[in-house]
Amino acid sequence: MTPEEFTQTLEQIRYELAKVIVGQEEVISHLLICLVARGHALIEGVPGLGKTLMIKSISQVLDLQFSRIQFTPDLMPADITGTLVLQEDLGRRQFSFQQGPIFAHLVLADEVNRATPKTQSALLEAMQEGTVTVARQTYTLPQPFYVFATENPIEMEGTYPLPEAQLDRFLLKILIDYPNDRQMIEVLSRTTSTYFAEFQRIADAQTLLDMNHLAREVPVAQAVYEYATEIVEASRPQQNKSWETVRRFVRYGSSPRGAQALITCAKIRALAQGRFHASREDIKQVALPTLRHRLLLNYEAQVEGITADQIIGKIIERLGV
Amino acid sequence: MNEEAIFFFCQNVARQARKQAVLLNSGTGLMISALSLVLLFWINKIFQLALPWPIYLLSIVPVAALMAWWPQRIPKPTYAIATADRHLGLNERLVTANEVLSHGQPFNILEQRLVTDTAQAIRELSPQRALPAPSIRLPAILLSATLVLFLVLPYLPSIPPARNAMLPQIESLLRQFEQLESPQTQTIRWKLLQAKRLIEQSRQMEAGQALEEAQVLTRQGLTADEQAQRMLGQTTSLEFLAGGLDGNQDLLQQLSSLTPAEQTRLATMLQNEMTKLPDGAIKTGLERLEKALRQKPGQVSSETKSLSEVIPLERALVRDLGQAVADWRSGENMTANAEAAAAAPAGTEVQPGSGLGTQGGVNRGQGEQQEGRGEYIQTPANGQETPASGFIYVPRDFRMSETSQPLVLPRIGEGQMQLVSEGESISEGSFTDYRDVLPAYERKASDQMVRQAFPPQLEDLVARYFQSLEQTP
Repeated sequence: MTPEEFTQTLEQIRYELAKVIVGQEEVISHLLICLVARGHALIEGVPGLGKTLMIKSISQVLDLQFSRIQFTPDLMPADITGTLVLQEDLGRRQFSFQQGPIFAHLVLADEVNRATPKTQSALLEAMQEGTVTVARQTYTLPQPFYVFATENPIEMEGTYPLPEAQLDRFLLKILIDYPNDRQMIEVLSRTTSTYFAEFQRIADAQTLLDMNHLAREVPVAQAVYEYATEIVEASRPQQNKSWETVRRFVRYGSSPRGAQALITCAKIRALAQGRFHASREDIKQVALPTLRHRLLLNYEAQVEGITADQIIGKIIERLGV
Repeated sequence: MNEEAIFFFCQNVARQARKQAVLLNSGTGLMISALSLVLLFWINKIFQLALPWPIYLLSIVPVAALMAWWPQRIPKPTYAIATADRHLGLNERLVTANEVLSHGQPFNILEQRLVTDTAQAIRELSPQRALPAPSIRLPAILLSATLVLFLVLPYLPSIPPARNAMLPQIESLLRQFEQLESPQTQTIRWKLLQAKRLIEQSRQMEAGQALEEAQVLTRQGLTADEQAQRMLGQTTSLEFLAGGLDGNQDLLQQLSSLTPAEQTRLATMLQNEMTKLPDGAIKTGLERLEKALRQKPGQVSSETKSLSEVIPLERALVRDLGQAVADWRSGENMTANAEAAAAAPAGTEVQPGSGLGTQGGVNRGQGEQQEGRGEYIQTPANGQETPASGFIYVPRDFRMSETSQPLVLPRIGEGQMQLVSEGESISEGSFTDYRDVLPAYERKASDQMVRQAFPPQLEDLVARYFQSLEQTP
């Protein structure tokens, strides 16, 4: 795949998604970065913003196996990963593995924070290793494998916040905001009429793997690596050089996965924009979705209404370009 | 081709950064050195430290230190390239391409495209302008401003008033030495001329130093005879005359009672001094007095009276003439008094009687009111009492011969001069053995020297003088 094909493919995907998704260009860009990076995304937004539609549309455009799991408190790990069932074959009974909904290219974990931690942890191995182990038997998930989980930020009662280890496995945390007036009118126009979007398949799983391979070859200067490292280190209150704001409001900063995510996403963003190298500006642009869920704020920050985005913004502002 | 373009561009940028660092360092060093040199110079001047010239070599230290340090300040090529990249708005393109090239081939497709893209981007750019100007603007401005301030300080507009105040005094002192011809006075005049020139150039500190040197030379270097001539060259006698005529009937009587020879000497002196006066009533009066002294001794009294009537009308002129003398006098009192103390017993007709003299009035020259008690010495010529305040020493009096002894006179001032005589006065022609008065005068001379600071040579001179008198059979 050439850089031009890379850019062209992404543009075509955008075009196809725009048939059903009005606005939300930044969200789509970040989702595409996730797809190319072979990362998982945590999408947070109030109900009715088209999260599920967006992810389902992506699977159609990219011809990916799609499965949706509605997370509820009574959902069990086996309901996700699959389980051994007793089957009778030619008079012999034997256990055979019945694959769960996780066996797909693109898994939509809807309202992931409503499941118990036990069930949530069932995703850990799948997200990190791309495998599922049941009864000491490991099964490989189809590649590329993506988990796009959604969260509802307003209904916190009866929810189980994702543990830090699980959050760290998500490449990006994408926030979906309300559409503006113009976009809202367009949404109303489309959804209340006989309008039906017919998607054209742009790419497939192999294309995504090729794109991922190309993106990994994007050269990055030492200074850009250093910049990413500085940002991640600055987010840690335990660091000697940490700033007062970080020490005051942050309990735990970003893990090394945060720096990896920064560089990976910066490479893809650069390539998506027709450039052949990643720059600091790319790092800055992807810093919020890659780091916001990796910063664990303390109680004082919650009381004062300080968000991770504000902390990251301060860090970037302080470091400059 | 593209690789070479990037390579040479980066190399030029690194060279440019090196050159910039060297220029910046040497410029900073030179600026600091110049500033420290000027600072040392001014510190030396202001605090009168008389620093030896090797101390100025300290100003080389900043240059040497910065030159020794400058290799540390030269940015690494990678840093210079990163700076150029940022300055040119290439968004790390140049840096990345440079690093890709440094890793060497083979290049992947993205690296090849990056190199091509970067080569195109820098094609129109100049390595000389790739680096931003060093951010030394504020420190450089501050350093330059300080340097300029020190350099133009003497020429600031606030200086001329001080110059205007000093120049007349120096010119007055120069006039005092005009008639004196000796190697010592030539040195003093040269110093005064130097001070005048420095003041005209607004170099007050140096001028002050030259004046001080001239003053020291005047105090220590002039012989007694030169001191005397210097006094005669001033308007002291005229001042004395004016002050004395101003309501002092005794002096009128003195003038009237002068011998023909004394009158001739006074006339000669008046003739000399009249040449320095502007036209006016005093000059006319003095001319008439001089003529009377020469030709019609009988009219001296009347001319003196008419002159005494004129002088108060032009008192300012008289005071101005004496002002320079008064200024000089304040510095010369020590020497003069010591000489007076030493010379007083030399007159063979020194009187044992003593008196008290009080002087009230405002001294314009000093700008202060004075009132004091002083002793007076009777002159041997006619036994007339002449007030001796102890403040002013006039080495020669017009009534005295060339070898006569000095006369101590009161300082001129506004107001009435009152003489209060105490003790027995010695009539004209009476003699006292000098051995009777020698201890008293020796004690007075030593007291005088204890009260005020005198040059050691002068103290020795006084001591040797009294010893010689004691040894005289």
